[in-house]
Amino acid sequence: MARKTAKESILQERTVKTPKVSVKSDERNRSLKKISIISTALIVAICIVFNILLDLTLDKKLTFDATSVQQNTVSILTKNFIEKLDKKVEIIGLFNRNNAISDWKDYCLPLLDDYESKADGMIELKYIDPDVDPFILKQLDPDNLYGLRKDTYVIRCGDLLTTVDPYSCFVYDANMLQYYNLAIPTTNNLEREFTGRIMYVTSGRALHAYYLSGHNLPTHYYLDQILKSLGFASSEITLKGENAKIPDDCTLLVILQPDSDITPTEKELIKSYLDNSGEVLVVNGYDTEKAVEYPNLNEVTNRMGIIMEAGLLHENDMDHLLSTDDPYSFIADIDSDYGSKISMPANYTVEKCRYLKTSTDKKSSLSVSPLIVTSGSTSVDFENAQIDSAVSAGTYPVALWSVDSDTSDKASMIVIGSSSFTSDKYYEANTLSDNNAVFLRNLLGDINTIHVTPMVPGKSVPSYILSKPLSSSSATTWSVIVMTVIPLGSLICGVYIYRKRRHL
Amino acid sequence: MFAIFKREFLSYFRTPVGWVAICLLGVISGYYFSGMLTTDYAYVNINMEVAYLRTFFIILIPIITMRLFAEEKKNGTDVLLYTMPFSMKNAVIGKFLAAMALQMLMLLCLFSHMIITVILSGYISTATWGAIVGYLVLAALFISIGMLTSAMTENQIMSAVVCFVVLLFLSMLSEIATSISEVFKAFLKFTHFFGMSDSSIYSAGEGLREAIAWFDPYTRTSCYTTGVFKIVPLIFCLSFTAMFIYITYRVLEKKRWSQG
Repeated sequence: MARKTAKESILQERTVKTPKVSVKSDERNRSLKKISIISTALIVAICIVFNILLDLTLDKKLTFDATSVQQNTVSILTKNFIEKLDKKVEIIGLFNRNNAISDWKDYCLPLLDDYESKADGMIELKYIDPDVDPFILKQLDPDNLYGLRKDTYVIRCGDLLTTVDPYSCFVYDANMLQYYNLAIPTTNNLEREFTGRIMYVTSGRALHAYYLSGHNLPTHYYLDQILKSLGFASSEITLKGENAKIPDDCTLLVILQPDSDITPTEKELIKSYLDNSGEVLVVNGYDTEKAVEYPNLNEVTNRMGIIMEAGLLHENDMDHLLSTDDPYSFIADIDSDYGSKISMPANYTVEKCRYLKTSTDKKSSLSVSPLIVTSGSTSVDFENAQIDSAVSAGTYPVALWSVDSDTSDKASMIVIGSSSFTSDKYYEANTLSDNNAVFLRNLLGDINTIHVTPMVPGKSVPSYILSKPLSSSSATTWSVIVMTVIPLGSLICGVYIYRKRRHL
Repeated sequence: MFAIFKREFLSYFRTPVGWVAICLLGVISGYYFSGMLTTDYAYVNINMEVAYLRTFFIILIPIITMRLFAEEKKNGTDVLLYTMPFSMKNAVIGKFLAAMALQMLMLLCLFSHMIITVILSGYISTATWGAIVGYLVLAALFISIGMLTSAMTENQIMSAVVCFVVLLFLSMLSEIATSISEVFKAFLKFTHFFGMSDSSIYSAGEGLREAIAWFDPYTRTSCYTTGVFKIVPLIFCLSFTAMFIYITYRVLEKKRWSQG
């Protein structure tokens, strides 16, 4: 009875105590759950807010360029220019930034971020994908003047707009392009291009250079680079058709090493362009193998008081010769008068220079001045390779500049007798930091009253191609090593351990 | 914490998991590297290899993390974790560090490729180191997510599947954001919401897209492979890693005290 009573009392006690424990446990669970939910929500909120604040305030400040040649950072030249911008510039990438899969985007996106961060709010960078927002192209270019397309950039300031195709801002490995059809960049000119384009849109003037095509126009990549660095847009025109005309927006007409004389129609159009205060650059070196007469072109240059003769300058001063066995490649000097007016390098490399002279019966309104001249011991070889006795040894112009003060806005013409100032072949060997490029750039800047800043240099892109060629057998050997040694080794270890420990 | 780290790290190699993970990464990276070597022009860019390896996180991370807590549960050793005389924080951090250590060990494959590139007179850019740092912080974030799924689920397979789905979702976040914003724009257009103009609808849609894509860790860390070294994405990944570790700790802590 006593035992029963004890059991009953225990049972009674249990029935009394159990609800107390359950209530306690529930309370503890509820409290733990509450703490867990609140603290987790708090941590998530703090984490998100903290990162948003960090993004807004320090993202650009805490960004570093890890490339060896500072590919992603603007140079000091660009930095100085964009820091002084007084007009708002919009740069619009016509693609989705987050779907960047092209190689050039790897270079473009961080560099433009740097432009934006260093411009102190004066450059606004946007990315709009025309596939997502089809109205953007119409909105930017309602009359379809610029032929805007996807994967390009638009740079806009006020009414002026220009485009940049980033793919064309690189120099590619010629061998890779030729043999494997692969575009491997070797030089990155993105910064030069973008800075030039920003200069153009902020200048408030539409500068457009047109190359006269139709006379076997040589490639002009480097001259383009010089023009772009001054803010010029450039394109080619042909003046051969019946309705041909020089566009109204033509700031500079470039006649580059024509291999035949211009047609009478072209002649008239160019003369009329000059009468309307046009600006013409004629570069016409003397090609001894293809000596061409230029009566029509000469008529045009003669309109500005300059005559191009069928003669080749022959340097006799040994100190000015580049090589003792080639009297046609020599060093010329800046004309002392012109050099005193504007800062120019002293010496230039000249190859196969045409004999230029000032017309004796030029109009009084014309002022023709030499820009670059030879030494005092230069003679002229005419077509029969004889030194003409009528032309004595002396100083001859390599480049002449003529201005017509009769025209309302002063028509001008520059005639350069050697292609070494514009040819791609020359600059491939000497780069755009050569004196010839500096001269041409400063000259064009001076004529067009452009504030010329030093040219932004191109950046060399490191090559990931193995510098020592790899034979196919050694490539296969290395492939076998990397594909098998580590993976197979670890797999064998895994299988061995599994067999040993599977029963544990 | 060190004891847990040591036990967990060694357990990767006492089971086939660690070896299989190393083997898998070795095959994937080796395949990519040998692909670069055997082209006619031998263009070897390790940055691209690092970027390529990031896409395999969705397979590798679930393998590494699935067993962290789920196996303890399966073996019944989770009770030991709850009753051992150390904080649960130490257990969580120790396990996380062990998984990270394995991830670093797996990078040996990549380092061996870098050495071979140097031997073969190739070029290793300074940006490669930035890319590796980006790779590791992304791995840390994903490991912490994997660890959370392991702590929340009952068995390893379930843990691996949930982790895989979450990582897949994250890797497609930009595309998902674009799709959602398109749907959102279409909805606003269809309902003439407050008479919004086309440009306002476009802005609202883009705002939504950007808000969702803001969480995309892949896009945030893609800058490292292009030679841009940003501190903010590092902090983003590390802070979210810490957040997931904390949530894992809370989940386990709750389980610990609700053992009854």
